[in-house]
Amino acid sequence: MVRWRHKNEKNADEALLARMAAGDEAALEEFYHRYFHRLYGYVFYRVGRDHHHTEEVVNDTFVEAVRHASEYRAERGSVEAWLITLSRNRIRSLNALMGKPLAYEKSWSMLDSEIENILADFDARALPESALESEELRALVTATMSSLPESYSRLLEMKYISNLSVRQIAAILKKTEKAVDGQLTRARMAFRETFKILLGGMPA
Amino acid sequence: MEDRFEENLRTLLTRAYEPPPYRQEFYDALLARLKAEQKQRKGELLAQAARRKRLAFAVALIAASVALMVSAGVMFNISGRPREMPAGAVERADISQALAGVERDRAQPAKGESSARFYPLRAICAAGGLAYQIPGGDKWLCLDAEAFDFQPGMSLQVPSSGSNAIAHFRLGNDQTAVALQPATVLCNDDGRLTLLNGGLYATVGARDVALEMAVADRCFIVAPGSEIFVKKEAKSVYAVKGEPAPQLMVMKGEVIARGALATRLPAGYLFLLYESPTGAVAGQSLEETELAFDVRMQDIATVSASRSRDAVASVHAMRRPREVLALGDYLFFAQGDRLLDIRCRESAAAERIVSGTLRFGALAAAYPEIGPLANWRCPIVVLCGDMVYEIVPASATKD
Repeated sequence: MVRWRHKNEKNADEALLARMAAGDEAALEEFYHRYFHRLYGYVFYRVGRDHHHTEEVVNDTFVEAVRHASEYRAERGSVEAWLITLSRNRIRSLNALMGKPLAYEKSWSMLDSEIENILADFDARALPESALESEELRALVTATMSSLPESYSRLLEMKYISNLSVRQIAAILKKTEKAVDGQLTRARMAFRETFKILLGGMPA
Repeated sequence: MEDRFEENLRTLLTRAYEPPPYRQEFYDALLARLKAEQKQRKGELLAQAARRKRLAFAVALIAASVALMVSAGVMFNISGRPREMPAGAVERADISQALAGVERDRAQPAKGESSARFYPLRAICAAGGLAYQIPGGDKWLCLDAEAFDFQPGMSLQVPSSGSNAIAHFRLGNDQTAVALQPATVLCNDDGRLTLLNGGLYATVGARDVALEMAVADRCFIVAPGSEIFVKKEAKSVYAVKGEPAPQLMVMKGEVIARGALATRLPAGYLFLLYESPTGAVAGQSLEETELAFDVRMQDIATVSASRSRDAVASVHAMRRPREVLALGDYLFFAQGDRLLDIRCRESAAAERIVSGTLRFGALAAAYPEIGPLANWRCPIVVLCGDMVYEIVPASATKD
């Protein structure tokens, strides 16, 4: 899955885990909110797109991460990869119990070819109602959002779901409107590229 | 082109995006769980120390009783069949013979097991230390299988000592059974144990644990990862496949263990096991018609249909105290002024209606905050205090 990482994320993660291992509750909260979205997105498509099962696995994974925070080594991989590794056993157990769900990659491989063509060109054509009814499309969109950095997905949610203006967002985030505008542009671009990659195309 | 992209992006995010729901609540639950586990670990360390003390005491008792029997020239083997002993060997006392005739008049044969022999567990404690009582009363009676070898046809009767008394049988390395008192433990012909208590009994086999209970006001807990099966022809529930070390506990109306399972019985009863805000788990069987009220009282749980078995529903823990409002076919879960979730009352047709977090107070004025409503197709009326809100799906407002 496509991942966008900030430059300083790795260092910040190491410091965060060290604090978490020392029992710092604030560090735990920061860590949780930093990775919840991504982990949730990862798990969701691997447990049959069931929110309840996802909650269980995500919660268990974070508990495991807290228990083993001191064992994390940055040279072995990113924190995100580590969390995903931790979640795999949980996912496997759950799937064994519930029956193996549809692999997430297949979720949108079942997209109707007509819809697929429309989506591949979705910055030029209006999306038809039929495409929006598709379960697979919902999976694809959610997977895209969960692949973006938290800051990008949050910004897109504020702008397009909560329908906030740039000024309102700037006030909430305590940034200048110009900065928010620039970040929104990058977030949109990230969404487009990620969406196309997940759909099977190439980045724009 | 950019305008079209942005328009499509807005459409996708408002119509086809299902964001992970209520993160703060998840975090709160995680924190509560971690704290509960920390507390539990401390408790376990203390309990381990206490167990070591009790074990030392039991061993001393066994040694003393064996020494007494040996000195009296009486030697038994564990199964009750006398056999030759190598010179100098020390063998454990044969409880079945040692206790023959002891308080037999107090024992009552279980239904359908009239040929079984019964021994009061208290007598076993006194006779050989092979079972012992936890200090502080007679609520917990533990029997170590290594010290006491159940043989087919052998039975034990747990004395009655209160409604919440529990007998705890530890069988080998990874098998546990617990019964509400009064209970009778039977060892079946195949070596499996059965705990009888009126309509309730638990069977402990080689690798799994099964429990059947009458649907009344009883609760039971099985280890996380276990499954509860519904026996369709009867109002009963089975819990099996506890792994890796099944822990089966039975208690009435008290928080006793961890886990989160539930089952809906064909007759309309709902059996719930849920995780409390402290990380502990309690269970309760509820009549479906009373679900909303009981949920509100008990701070339970959302219900969804199970994929694997149509008669089984899974219950997911409410991480924090919440209010539940029932209206029509829907249950509304709220916390403070926030509406957290709306679900169908019927678990068999459970459908996620709304994702994300809604604010009760803001519903009437701020439709945009409602968020993506992928599966929501009709207006919903929500009662909140003395206010009535009509929530209209985004698609409907556009029309």
